[in-house]
Amino acid sequence: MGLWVPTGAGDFTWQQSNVASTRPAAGYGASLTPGNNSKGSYVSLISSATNDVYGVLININSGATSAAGRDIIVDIGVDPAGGTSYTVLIPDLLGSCASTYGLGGGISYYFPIWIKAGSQIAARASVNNATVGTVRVVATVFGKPRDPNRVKVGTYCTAFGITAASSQGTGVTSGTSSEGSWTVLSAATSKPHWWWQLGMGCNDSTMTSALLYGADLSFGDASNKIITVSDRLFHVVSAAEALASQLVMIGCERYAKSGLAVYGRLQCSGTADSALSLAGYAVGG
Amino acid sequence: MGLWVPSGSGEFSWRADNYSTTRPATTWGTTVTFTGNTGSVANPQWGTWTQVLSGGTVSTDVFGLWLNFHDPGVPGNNQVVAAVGVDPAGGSSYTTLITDLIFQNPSLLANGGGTSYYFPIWIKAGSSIAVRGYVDSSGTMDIAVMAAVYGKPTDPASVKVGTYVTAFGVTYDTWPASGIFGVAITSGTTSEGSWTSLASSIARDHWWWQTSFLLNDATMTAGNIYNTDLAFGDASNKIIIIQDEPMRVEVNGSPTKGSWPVACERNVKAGNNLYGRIQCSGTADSNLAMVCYGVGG
Repeated sequence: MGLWVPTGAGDFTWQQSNVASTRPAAGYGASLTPGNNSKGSYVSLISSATNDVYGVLININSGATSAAGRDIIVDIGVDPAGGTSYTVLIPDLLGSCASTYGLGGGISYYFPIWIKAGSQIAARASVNNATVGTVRVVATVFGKPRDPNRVKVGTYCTAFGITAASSQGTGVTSGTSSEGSWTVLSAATSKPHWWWQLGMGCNDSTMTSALLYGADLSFGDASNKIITVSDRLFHVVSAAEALASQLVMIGCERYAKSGLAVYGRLQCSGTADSALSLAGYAVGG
Repeated sequence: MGLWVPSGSGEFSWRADNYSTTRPATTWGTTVTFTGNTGSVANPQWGTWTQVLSGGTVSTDVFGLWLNFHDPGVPGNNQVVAAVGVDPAGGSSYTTLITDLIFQNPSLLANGGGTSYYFPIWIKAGSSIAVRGYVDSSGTMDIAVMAAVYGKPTDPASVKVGTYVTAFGVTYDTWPASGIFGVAITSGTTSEGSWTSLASSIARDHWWWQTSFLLNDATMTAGNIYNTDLAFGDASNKIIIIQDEPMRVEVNGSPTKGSWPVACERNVKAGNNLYGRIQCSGTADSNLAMVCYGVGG
Protein backbone atom coordinates (compact mmCIF):
# COMPACT_ATOMS: atom_id res chain seq x y z
CA MET A 1 0.00 0.00 0.00
CA GLY A 2 1.97 2.95 -1.27
CA LEU A 3 0.00 5.84 0.09
CA TRP A 4 2.02 8.60 1.57
CA VAL A 5 1.03 8.73 5.19
CA PRO A 6 1.85 12.05 6.82
CA THR A 7 2.84 12.04 10.43
CA GLY A 8 1.15 14.14 12.96
CA ALA A 9 -2.45 14.16 11.86
CA GLY A 10 -3.93 13.66 15.29
CA ASP A 11 -0.82 12.15 16.82
CA PHE A 12 -1.26 14.06 20.06
CA THR A 13 1.47 13.68 22.65
CA TRP A 14 -0.28 15.50 25.46
CA GLN A 15 -3.65 15.43 27.15
CA GLN A 16 -5.11 17.03 30.25
CA SER A 17 -8.34 16.26 32.06
CA ASN A 18 -10.32 17.18 35.12
CA VAL A 19 -10.42 13.52 36.13
CA ALA A 20 -6.94 12.27 35.24
CA SER A 21 -5.94 11.66 38.83
CA THR A 22 -9.40 10.73 40.00
CA ARG A 23 -10.70 7.25 40.60
CA PRO A 24 -13.57 6.45 38.21
CA ALA A 25 -16.99 6.76 39.80
CA ALA A 26 -20.65 6.64 38.86
CA GLY A 27 -20.81 10.42 39.17
CA TYR A 28 -17.61 11.50 37.45
CA GLY A 29 -16.19 14.93 36.82
CA ALA A 30 -17.20 18.38 37.95
CA SER A 31 -20.67 18.80 39.44
CA LEU A 32 -22.73 21.62 37.96
CA THR A 33 -25.89 23.10 39.37
CA PRO A 34 -28.02 24.13 36.41
CA GLY A 35 -30.44 27.01 36.34
CA ASN A 36 -34.08 26.28 35.62
CA ASN A 37 -34.13 27.03 31.89
CA SER A 38 -31.34 29.51 32.42
CA LYS A 39 -27.65 28.94 32.60
CA GLY A 40 -26.26 28.34 36.08
CA SER A 41 -22.88 29.48 37.27
CA TYR A 42 -19.71 28.35 35.60
CA VAL A 43 -17.71 25.60 37.27
CA SER A 44 -14.05 25.31 36.36
CA LEU A 45 -13.04 22.11 34.58
CA ILE A 46 -9.41 22.86 33.73
CA SER A 47 -7.83 25.77 35.53
CA SER A 48 -5.02 26.27 33.04
CA ALA A 49 -4.42 24.37 29.84
CA THR A 50 -0.74 23.49 29.92
CA ASN A 51 -0.41 23.59 26.13
CA ASP A 52 -2.39 24.76 23.14
CA VAL A 53 -5.46 22.59 22.76
CA TYR A 54 -6.37 20.95 19.43
CA GLY A 55 -9.28 18.79 20.57
CA VAL A 56 -11.87 18.73 23.35
CA LEU A 57 -13.64 15.60 24.58
CA ILE A 58 -16.70 16.30 26.71
CA ASN A 59 -18.69 13.76 28.69
CA ILE A 60 -21.96 14.72 30.37
CA ASN A 61 -23.15 12.27 33.01
CA SER A 62 -25.34 11.87 36.09
CA GLY A 63 -28.01 14.34 35.04
CA ALA A 64 -30.90 11.89 35.21
CA THR A 65 -33.45 11.50 37.99
CA SER A 66 -36.00 8.73 38.24
CA ALA A 67 -39.49 9.70 37.08
CA ALA A 68 -38.36 13.12 35.89
CA GLY A 69 -37.95 14.62 32.45
CA ARG A 70 -34.72 16.57 32.52
CA ASP A 71 -33.69 18.18 29.27
CA ILE A 72 -30.28 19.69 29.92
CA ILE A 73 -27.95 21.86 27.85
CA VAL A 74 -24.34 22.59 28.76
CA ASP A 75 -22.05 25.42 27.65
CA ILE A 76 -18.29 25.04 27.55
CA GLY A 77 -16.68 28.39 28.25
CA VAL A 78 -13.10 29.57 27.98
CA ASP A 79 -11.15 32.44 29.48
CA PRO A 80 -7.95 32.77 27.43
CA ALA A 81 -6.43 34.90 30.19
CA GLY A 82 -6.80 32.05 32.64
CA GLY A 83 -9.36 33.86 34.75
CA THR A 84 -13.06 33.31 35.23
CA SER A 85 -14.41 35.72 32.65
CA TYR A 86 -15.64 33.02 30.32
CA THR A 87 -16.76 33.26 26.73
CA VAL A 88 -18.85 30.41 25.38
CA LEU A 89 -16.78 28.33 22.98
CA ILE A 90 -19.00 25.24 22.62
CA PRO A 91 -22.65 26.15 23.18
CA ASP A 92 -25.68 24.23 24.37
CA LEU A 93 -24.54 20.62 24.34
CA LEU A 94 -27.56 18.41 24.90
CA GLY A 95 -27.09 16.26 27.97
CA SER A 96 -30.71 15.39 28.49
CA CYS A 97 -31.23 12.85 31.27
CA ALA A 98 -27.58 11.81 30.98
CA SER A 99 -27.00 8.47 32.65
CA THR A 100 -24.32 7.83 35.23
CA TYR A 101 -20.75 7.25 34.15
CA GLY A 102 -21.06 3.69 35.42
CA LEU A 103 -24.25 2.59 33.70
CA GLY A 104 -24.42 3.71 30.11
CA GLY A 105 -21.62 6.20 30.50
CA GLY A 106 -23.59 9.36 29.82
CA ILE A 107 -23.28 11.31 26.58
CA SER A 108 -20.00 12.23 24.93
CA TYR A 109 -18.92 14.70 22.26
CA TYR A 110 -15.62 15.47 20.55
CA PHE A 111 -14.65 18.80 19.00
CA PRO A 112 -11.40 19.52 17.13
CA ILE A 113 -11.24 23.11 18.31
CA TRP A 114 -8.35 25.31 19.31
CA ILE A 115 -7.90 26.77 22.80
CA LYS A 116 -4.90 28.84 23.75
CA ALA A 117 -2.44 27.51 26.30
CA GLY A 118 -3.05 29.00 29.73
CA SER A 119 -6.80 29.25 29.21
CA GLN A 120 -9.19 28.25 31.93
CA ILE A 121 -12.03 26.00 30.73
CA ALA A 122 -15.37 25.79 32.51
CA ALA A 123 -18.92 24.57 32.07
CA ARG A 124 -22.40 25.75 33.01
CA ALA A 125 -25.80 24.16 32.51
CA SER A 126 -29.52 24.72 32.19
CA VAL A 127 -32.26 22.20 32.97
CA ASN A 128 -35.92 22.08 32.03
CA ASN A 129 -37.05 21.17 35.53
CA ALA A 130 -37.84 23.27 38.59
CA THR A 131 -35.93 20.81 40.71
CA VAL A 132 -32.62 21.66 39.15
CA GLY A 133 -30.48 18.96 40.72
CA THR A 134 -26.99 18.54 39.35
CA VAL A 135 -25.18 17.22 36.29
CA ARG A 136 -21.55 16.26 35.90
CA VAL A 137 -19.04 17.06 33.18
CA VAL A 138 -15.74 15.42 32.31
CA ALA A 139 -13.44 17.41 30.04
CA THR A 140 -10.31 16.07 28.39
CA VAL A 141 -8.21 18.21 26.07
CA PHE A 142 -5.56 17.09 23.60
CA GLY A 143 -2.53 18.81 22.14
CA LYS A 144 1.14 18.76 21.21
CA PRO A 145 0.62 16.99 17.89
CA ARG A 146 3.79 15.74 16.27
CA ASP A 147 3.25 18.10 13.35
CA PRO A 148 0.91 20.96 14.24
CA ASN A 149 0.80 22.26 10.69
CA ARG A 150 -0.94 19.12 9.53
CA VAL A 151 -3.63 18.97 12.18
CA LYS A 152 -7.02 20.27 11.20
CA VAL A 153 -8.40 22.37 14.03
CA GLY A 154 -11.28 24.83 14.15
CA THR A 155 -11.87 28.08 15.95
CA TYR A 156 -15.62 28.26 16.42
CA CYS A 157 -18.49 25.93 17.19
CA THR A 158 -22.12 26.57 16.28
CA ALA A 159 -25.17 24.88 17.78
CA PHE A 160 -28.16 24.30 15.50
CA GLY A 161 -31.72 23.76 16.68
CA ILE A 162 -31.44 24.74 20.32
CA THR A 163 -34.53 25.96 22.18
CA ALA A 164 -32.90 27.63 25.15
CA ALA A 165 -36.20 28.49 26.85
CA SER A 166 -36.80 24.81 27.50
CA SER A 167 -33.20 23.56 27.50
CA GLN A 168 -33.79 21.31 24.53
CA GLY A 169 -33.25 20.94 20.83
CA THR A 170 -35.79 21.13 18.05
CA GLY A 171 -38.80 18.88 18.55
CA VAL A 172 -38.65 15.77 16.38
CA THR A 173 -41.15 13.01 15.71
CA SER A 174 -39.31 9.73 15.67
CA GLY A 175 -39.82 7.21 12.94
CA THR A 176 -40.56 3.67 13.99
CA SER A 177 -40.67 1.04 11.27
CA SER A 178 -39.12 3.52 8.86
CA GLU A 179 -36.91 6.57 9.24
CA GLY A 180 -38.52 9.67 10.65
CA SER A 181 -38.87 12.74 8.50
CA TRP A 182 -36.00 15.16 8.20
CA THR A 183 -36.61 18.09 10.54
CA VAL A 184 -34.98 21.45 9.95
CA LEU A 185 -32.58 22.35 12.75
CA SER A 186 -31.31 25.46 10.96
CA ALA A 187 -32.66 26.98 7.76
CA ALA A 188 -29.34 28.41 6.67
CA THR A 189 -25.94 28.36 8.33
CA SER A 190 -24.15 31.68 8.44
CA LYS A 191 -20.61 30.31 8.31
CA PRO A 192 -18.82 27.31 6.82
CA HIS A 193 -18.26 24.26 9.01
CA TRP A 194 -16.36 21.01 8.62
CA TRP A 195 -16.85 18.89 11.78
CA TRP A 196 -20.23 17.68 13.06
CA GLN A 197 -21.71 16.25 16.25
CA LEU A 198 -25.29 15.38 17.11
CA GLY A 199 -27.22 15.56 20.38
CA MET A 200 -30.61 14.20 21.40
CA GLY A 201 -33.04 15.28 24.10
CA CYS A 202 -35.90 13.45 25.75
CA ASN A 203 -38.01 15.27 28.32
CA ASP A 204 -40.15 12.31 29.28
CA SER A 205 -40.74 11.37 32.91
CA THR A 206 -41.70 7.81 31.93
CA MET A 207 -39.09 6.72 29.43
CA THR A 208 -39.22 3.17 28.15
CA SER A 209 -36.26 1.17 29.35
CA ALA A 210 -33.93 -0.23 26.69
CA LEU A 211 -35.37 1.74 23.80
CA LEU A 212 -32.90 2.49 21.04
CA TYR A 213 -32.83 5.60 18.87
CA GLY A 214 -30.78 5.90 15.71
CA ALA A 215 -30.18 9.61 15.07
CA ASP A 216 -29.01 11.13 11.79
CA LEU A 217 -27.66 14.59 11.06
CA SER A 218 -27.36 16.08 7.58
CA PHE A 219 -26.90 19.33 5.72
CA GLY A 220 -28.12 20.45 2.32
CA ASP A 221 -31.50 21.60 1.09
CA ALA A 222 -35.02 20.30 0.77
CA SER A 223 -34.09 17.96 -2.08
CA ASN A 224 -30.51 16.96 -1.40
CA LYS A 225 -29.00 16.05 1.93
CA ILE A 226 -25.55 14.87 2.87
CA ILE A 227 -25.54 12.78 6.03
CA THR A 228 -22.71 13.70 8.36
CA VAL A 229 -23.64 11.64 11.40
CA SER A 230 -25.36 8.35 10.61
CA ASP A 231 -27.24 6.38 13.25
CA ARG A 232 -25.70 7.77 16.38
CA LEU A 233 -27.27 5.38 18.86
CA PHE A 234 -28.92 6.72 21.99
CA HIS A 235 -30.39 4.23 24.40
CA VAL A 236 -32.58 4.44 27.46
CA VAL A 237 -30.56 2.85 30.23
CA SER A 238 -32.39 0.35 32.41
CA ALA A 239 -32.10 2.72 35.30
CA ALA A 240 -35.16 4.87 34.96
CA GLU A 241 -35.26 7.96 32.75
CA ALA A 242 -31.60 7.91 31.80
CA LEU A 243 -30.08 8.36 28.35
CA ALA A 244 -26.66 7.26 27.12
CA SER A 245 -24.72 7.28 23.87
CA GLN A 246 -21.24 6.13 22.96
CA LEU A 247 -18.85 8.64 21.46
CA VAL A 248 -19.15 9.04 17.68
CA MET A 249 -16.22 10.53 15.77
CA ILE A 250 -15.73 8.57 12.59
CA GLY A 251 -17.25 10.15 9.51
CA CYS A 252 -18.00 13.39 11.33
CA GLU A 253 -15.67 15.47 9.18
CA ARG A 254 -17.51 16.98 6.23
CA TYR A 255 -17.13 20.42 4.75
CA ALA A 256 -20.34 22.45 4.42
CA LYS A 257 -20.29 25.94 3.02
CA SER A 258 -22.45 28.62 4.62
CA GLY A 259 -26.06 29.02 3.58
CA LEU A 260 -27.00 25.37 3.76
CA ALA A 261 -29.75 23.98 5.95
CA VAL A 262 -29.12 21.52 8.78
CA TYR A 263 -31.48 18.60 9.37
CA GLY A 264 -32.00 15.85 11.92
CA ARG A 265 -34.14 12.72 12.07
CA LEU A 266 -34.77 9.82 14.42
CA GLN A 267 -35.83 6.21 14.22
CA CYS A 268 -36.82 4.24 17.31
CA SER A 269 -36.70 0.52 18.05
CA GLY A 270 -40.17 0.56 19.68
CA THR A 271 -42.87 2.99 20.65
CA ALA A 272 -41.05 6.26 20.95
CA ASP A 273 -40.92 8.30 24.14
CA SER A 274 -42.41 11.76 24.14
CA ALA A 275 -40.80 15.20 23.96
CA LEU A 276 -37.90 14.15 21.73
CA SER A 277 -35.57 16.75 20.29
CA LEU A 278 -32.37 17.01 18.30
CA ALA A 279 -29.57 19.53 17.99
CA GLY A 280 -26.55 19.67 15.72
CA TYR A 281 -23.12 21.09 16.46
CA ALA A 282 -20.51 22.06 13.93
CA VAL A 283 -16.94 23.30 14.07
CA GLY A 284 -15.54 25.72 11.53
CA GLY A 285 -12.62 28.06 11.06
CA MET B 1 -5.91 30.95 13.96
CA GLY B 2 -3.63 30.73 10.97
CA LEU B 3 -2.89 27.05 10.81
CA TRP B 4 -2.92 25.52 7.42
CA VAL B 5 -5.63 22.92 7.49
CA PRO B 6 -5.27 20.27 4.81
CA SER B 7 -8.42 19.00 3.23
CA GLY B 8 -9.25 15.36 3.31
CA SER B 9 -7.78 14.20 6.58
CA GLY B 10 -10.65 11.95 7.48
CA GLU B 11 -13.25 13.75 5.42
CA PHE B 12 -14.93 10.66 4.03
CA SER B 13 -17.67 11.24 1.51
CA TRP B 14 -18.73 7.61 1.38
CA ARG B 15 -19.74 5.05 3.94
CA ALA B 16 -21.50 1.72 3.87
CA ASP B 17 -22.78 -0.47 6.66
CA ASN B 18 -24.90 -3.51 7.41
CA TYR B 19 -27.53 -1.89 9.64
CA SER B 20 -28.63 1.66 8.80
CA THR B 21 -31.35 0.67 6.36
CA THR B 22 -33.13 -1.36 9.01
CA ARG B 23 -34.92 -0.27 12.14
CA PRO B 24 -32.79 -0.04 15.28
CA ALA B 25 -33.18 -3.22 17.28
CA THR B 26 -31.62 -4.99 20.19
CA THR B 27 -29.91 -7.23 17.67
CA TRP B 28 -28.74 -4.91 14.89
CA GLY B 29 -26.51 -5.77 12.01
CA THR B 30 -25.56 -9.34 11.12
CA THR B 31 -25.85 -12.17 13.60
CA VAL B 32 -22.74 -14.32 13.66
CA THR B 33 -22.66 -17.69 15.39
CA PHE B 34 -19.48 -18.00 17.40
CA THR B 35 -18.62 -21.61 17.80
CA GLY B 36 -18.02 -23.31 21.10
CA ASN B 37 -14.36 -24.08 21.08
CA THR B 38 -13.56 -27.74 21.08
CA GLY B 39 -10.28 -27.34 19.24
CA SER B 40 -6.83 -27.58 20.67
CA VAL B 41 -4.95 -24.81 22.36
CA ALA B 42 -2.58 -24.52 19.45
CA ASN B 43 -5.29 -24.76 16.84
CA PRO B 44 -8.54 -23.22 18.06
CA GLN B 45 -11.68 -24.16 16.24
CA TRP B 46 -13.03 -21.08 14.56
CA GLY B 47 -16.61 -20.73 13.48
CA THR B 48 -17.45 -20.30 9.85
CA TRP B 49 -17.06 -16.95 8.14
CA THR B 50 -20.28 -14.94 8.04
CA GLN B 51 -20.38 -12.13 5.54
CA VAL B 52 -21.19 -8.75 7.08
CA LEU B 53 -20.59 -6.61 3.98
CA SER B 54 -20.76 -7.83 0.41
CA GLY B 55 -18.34 -6.92 -2.34
CA GLY B 56 -21.11 -5.01 -4.02
CA THR B 57 -21.69 -2.95 -0.92
CA VAL B 58 -17.99 -2.18 -0.56
CA SER B 59 -18.10 -0.24 -3.79
CA THR B 60 -15.02 1.90 -3.21
CA ASP B 61 -11.69 1.57 -1.44
CA VAL B 62 -12.05 1.46 2.33
CA PHE B 63 -9.93 3.70 4.57
CA GLY B 64 -11.51 2.81 7.92
CA LEU B 65 -13.47 -0.05 9.48
CA TRP B 66 -15.74 0.33 12.51
CA LEU B 67 -17.04 -2.75 14.29
CA ASN B 68 -19.53 -3.29 17.09
CA PHE B 69 -20.27 -6.59 18.82
CA HIS B 70 -23.40 -6.80 20.99
CA ASP B 71 -26.24 -8.80 22.42
CA PRO B 72 -25.02 -12.32 23.06
CA GLY B 73 -28.32 -12.91 24.87
CA VAL B 74 -26.59 -14.96 27.52
CA PRO B 75 -24.86 -12.60 29.96
CA GLY B 76 -22.12 -14.37 31.81
CA ASN B 77 -18.45 -14.99 31.90
CA ASN B 78 -17.72 -16.00 28.35
CA GLN B 79 -14.63 -14.77 26.61
CA VAL B 80 -15.05 -14.17 22.91
CA VAL B 81 -12.47 -14.26 20.14
CA ALA B 82 -13.35 -12.70 16.78
CA ALA B 83 -11.59 -12.32 13.46
CA VAL B 84 -12.29 -10.20 10.41
CA GLY B 85 -11.70 -11.65 6.98
CA VAL B 86 -11.59 -10.10 3.55
CA ASP B 87 -12.02 -11.55 0.08
CA PRO B 88 -10.71 -8.97 -2.41
CA ALA B 89 -12.46 -10.82 -5.21
CA GLY B 90 -15.81 -10.27 -3.58
CA GLY B 91 -16.43 -13.94 -3.00
CA SER B 92 -16.36 -16.08 0.08
CA SER B 93 -12.75 -17.19 0.26
CA TYR B 94 -11.64 -15.03 3.13
CA THR B 95 -8.16 -14.10 4.23
CA THR B 96 -7.84 -12.94 7.82
CA LEU B 97 -7.25 -9.20 8.10
CA ILE B 98 -7.73 -8.75 11.85
CA THR B 99 -7.43 -11.68 14.20
CA ASP B 100 -7.78 -12.28 17.90
CA LEU B 101 -10.20 -9.50 18.74
CA ILE B 102 -10.76 -10.66 22.29
CA PHE B 103 -13.49 -9.32 24.54
CA GLN B 104 -15.87 -10.40 27.25
CA ASN B 105 -19.41 -11.34 26.27
CA PRO B 106 -20.61 -7.93 25.14
CA SER B 107 -23.52 -6.01 26.57
CA LEU B 108 -26.85 -5.48 24.92
CA LEU B 109 -26.99 -2.68 22.41
CA ALA B 110 -29.71 -1.08 24.52
CA ASN B 111 -27.73 -1.57 27.70
CA GLY B 112 -24.42 0.10 27.20
CA GLY B 113 -23.96 -0.40 23.50
CA GLY B 114 -21.70 -3.44 23.28
CA THR B 115 -18.03 -3.54 22.37
CA SER B 116 -16.71 -1.33 19.57
CA TYR B 117 -13.44 -0.84 17.70
CA TYR B 118 -12.18 1.41 14.93
CA PHE B 119 -9.32 0.52 12.62
CA PRO B 120 -8.01 2.91 9.95
CA ILE B 121 -7.12 0.08 7.59
CA TRP B 122 -7.23 -0.22 3.84
CA ILE B 123 -9.52 -2.69 2.09
CA LYS B 124 -9.74 -2.87 -1.68
CA ALA B 125 -12.97 -1.84 -3.40
CA GLY B 126 -15.17 -4.81 -4.23
CA SER B 127 -13.97 -6.86 -1.29
CA SER B 128 -16.44 -8.79 0.78
CA ILE B 129 -15.91 -8.62 4.54
CA ALA B 130 -16.76 -11.35 7.00
CA VAL B 131 -16.49 -12.17 10.70
CA ARG B 132 -15.92 -15.47 12.47
CA GLY B 133 -15.12 -16.42 16.01
CA TYR B 134 -15.39 -18.70 18.97
CA VAL B 135 -16.13 -18.56 22.67
CA ASP B 136 -14.50 -20.27 25.61
CA SER B 137 -17.34 -22.67 26.23
CA SER B 138 -18.73 -25.80 24.72
CA GLY B 139 -21.86 -24.07 23.44
CA THR B 140 -22.24 -21.64 20.59
CA MET B 141 -23.06 -17.98 21.07
CA ASP B 142 -24.88 -15.69 18.66
CA ILE B 143 -23.42 -12.21 18.59
CA ALA B 144 -24.72 -9.34 16.50
CA VAL B 145 -22.02 -7.57 14.51
CA MET B 146 -22.41 -4.06 13.15
CA ALA B 147 -19.84 -3.07 10.54
CA ALA B 148 -19.35 0.29 8.86
CA VAL B 149 -16.68 1.20 6.34
CA TYR B 150 -15.53 4.65 5.26
CA GLY B 151 -13.93 5.88 2.08
CA LYS B 152 -13.75 8.45 -0.69
CA PRO B 153 -11.79 11.00 1.32
CA THR B 154 -11.55 14.43 -0.24
CA ASP B 155 -7.79 14.03 -0.55
CA PRO B 156 -6.76 10.37 -0.40
CA ALA B 157 -3.06 11.17 -0.41
CA SER B 158 -3.32 12.96 2.91
CA VAL B 159 -5.27 10.26 4.73
CA LYS B 160 -3.31 8.01 7.01
CA VAL B 161 -4.35 4.41 6.48
CA GLY B 162 -2.70 1.17 7.51
CA THR B 163 -2.35 -2.26 6.00
CA TYR B 164 -1.90 -4.59 8.95
CA VAL B 165 -3.23 -5.08 12.48
CA THR B 166 -1.28 -6.83 15.22
CA ALA B 167 -2.81 -8.18 18.41
CA PHE B 168 -0.63 -7.88 21.51
CA GLY B 169 -1.11 -9.71 24.78
CA VAL B 170 -3.06 -12.62 23.35
CA THR B 171 -2.51 -15.77 25.36
CA TYR B 172 -4.10 -19.14 24.98
CA ASP B 173 -1.76 -21.07 27.19
CA THR B 174 -4.22 -21.70 29.97
CA TRP B 175 -7.24 -22.28 27.80
CA PRO B 176 -9.60 -24.05 28.21
CA ALA B 177 -9.01 -24.82 31.85
CA SER B 178 -10.89 -21.74 33.10
CA GLY B 179 -8.03 -19.56 32.08
CA ILE B 180 -8.03 -16.15 30.46
CA PHE B 181 -7.16 -15.15 26.95
CA GLY B 182 -5.35 -11.88 27.58
CA VAL B 183 -2.57 -10.82 29.91
CA ALA B 184 -3.71 -11.09 33.51
CA ILE B 185 -3.78 -7.72 35.20
CA THR B 186 -4.49 -6.48 38.71
CA SER B 187 -6.68 -3.43 38.90
CA GLY B 188 -5.88 -0.44 40.98
CA THR B 189 -8.65 0.89 43.17
CA THR B 190 -7.96 4.13 45.01
CA SER B 191 -4.87 4.65 42.88
CA GLU B 192 -3.76 3.51 39.46
CA GLY B 193 -2.85 -0.13 39.04
CA SER B 194 0.69 -1.15 38.20
CA TRP B 195 1.90 -1.18 34.64
CA THR B 196 1.74 -4.70 33.26
CA SER B 197 3.69 -5.78 30.21
CA LEU B 198 1.51 -6.66 27.23
CA ALA B 199 4.32 -7.16 24.74
CA SER B 200 8.09 -6.93 24.67
CA SER B 201 10.06 -5.55 21.77
CA ILE B 202 7.32 -5.42 19.17
CA ALA B 203 8.46 -6.56 15.74
CA ARG B 204 7.04 -3.80 13.54
CA ASP B 205 6.13 -0.15 13.62
CA HIS B 206 2.54 0.73 14.49
CA TRP B 207 0.74 4.08 14.66
CA TRP B 208 -2.90 3.44 15.67
CA TRP B 209 -4.07 1.69 18.82
CA GLN B 210 -7.14 0.05 20.30
CA THR B 211 -7.53 -1.83 23.56
CA SER B 212 -9.62 -4.66 24.86
CA PHE B 213 -10.39 -5.61 28.40
CA LEU B 214 -11.69 -8.86 29.84
CA LEU B 215 -13.23 -9.75 33.16
CA ASN B 216 -13.91 -13.44 33.23
CA ASP B 217 -16.04 -13.32 36.34
CA ALA B 218 -19.40 -15.08 36.67
CA THR B 219 -20.52 -12.53 39.22
CA MET B 220 -19.22 -9.27 37.85
CA THR B 221 -20.44 -6.15 39.62
CA ALA B 222 -22.92 -4.04 37.71
CA GLY B 223 -21.89 -0.42 37.62
CA ASN B 224 -18.19 -1.08 37.98
CA ILE B 225 -16.10 1.24 35.81
CA TYR B 226 -12.57 0.40 34.70
CA ASN B 227 -10.40 3.17 33.35
CA THR B 228 -7.80 1.68 31.07
CA ASP B 229 -4.40 3.08 30.09
CA LEU B 230 -2.11 1.89 27.31
CA ALA B 231 1.53 2.94 27.07
CA PHE B 232 4.73 2.14 25.24
CA GLY B 233 8.34 2.47 26.27
CA ASP B 234 10.48 0.48 28.64
CA ALA B 235 10.61 -0.46 32.28
CA SER B 236 11.65 3.03 33.34
CA ASN B 237 10.00 5.34 30.82
CA LYS B 238 6.49 5.03 29.54
CA ILE B 239 4.58 7.22 27.14
CA ILE B 240 0.85 6.94 27.50
CA ILE B 241 -1.04 6.41 24.25
CA ILE B 242 -4.59 5.93 25.50
CA GLN B 243 -5.54 7.31 28.89
CA ASP B 244 -8.62 6.53 30.95
CA GLU B 245 -10.59 4.74 28.29
CA PRO B 246 -13.69 3.60 30.19
CA MET B 247 -15.03 0.05 30.24
CA ARG B 248 -18.21 -0.64 32.17
CA VAL B 249 -20.18 -3.51 33.61
CA GLU B 250 -23.76 -2.83 32.62
CA VAL B 251 -26.81 -3.78 34.61
CA ASN B 252 -27.17 -7.17 33.04
CA GLY B 253 -23.67 -8.18 34.01
CA SER B 254 -22.21 -7.73 30.57
CA PRO B 255 -19.39 -5.31 29.91
CA THR B 256 -19.31 -2.40 27.50
CA LYS B 257 -16.41 -0.91 25.61
CA GLY B 258 -17.40 2.08 23.57
CA SER B 259 -15.77 3.17 20.40
CA TRP B 260 -12.69 5.16 21.42
CA PRO B 261 -11.13 6.76 18.38
CA VAL B 262 -9.78 9.82 20.16
CA ALA B 263 -6.03 10.12 20.69
CA CYS B 264 -5.41 6.58 19.49
CA GLU B 265 -2.83 7.69 16.95
CA ARG B 266 0.72 7.35 18.18
CA ASN B 267 3.82 6.28 16.31
CA VAL B 268 5.50 3.41 18.13
CA LYS B 269 8.66 2.06 16.60
CA ALA B 270 9.55 -1.59 16.47
CA GLY B 271 11.48 -2.67 19.53
CA ASN B 272 9.35 -0.88 22.06
CA ASN B 273 7.48 -2.62 24.83
CA LEU B 274 3.75 -2.20 25.45
CA TYR B 275 2.13 -1.83 28.85
CA GLY B 276 -1.38 -1.66 30.24
CA ARG B 277 -2.91 -0.72 33.56
CA ILE B 278 -6.43 -0.29 34.93
CA GLN B 279 -8.19 1.40 37.80
CA CYS B 280 -11.60 0.35 39.08
CA SER B 281 -14.35 2.46 40.59
CA GLY B 282 -15.09 -0.13 43.28
CA THR B 283 -14.04 -3.56 44.33
CA ALA B 284 -12.56 -5.06 41.21
CA ASP B 285 -13.99 -8.17 39.64
CA SER B 286 -11.82 -11.23 39.26
CA ASN B 287 -9.91 -12.64 36.30
CA LEU B 288 -9.11 -9.30 34.69
CA ALA B 289 -7.03 -9.24 31.55
CA MET B 290 -6.00 -6.83 28.83
CA VAL B 291 -5.13 -7.01 25.14
CA CYS B 292 -4.26 -4.29 22.65
CA TYR B 293 -4.12 -3.86 18.89
CA GLY B 294 -1.80 -1.81 16.74
CA VAL B 295 -2.29 -0.74 13.14
CA GLY B 296 0.75 -0.22 10.97
CA GLY B 297 1.81 0.07 7.36
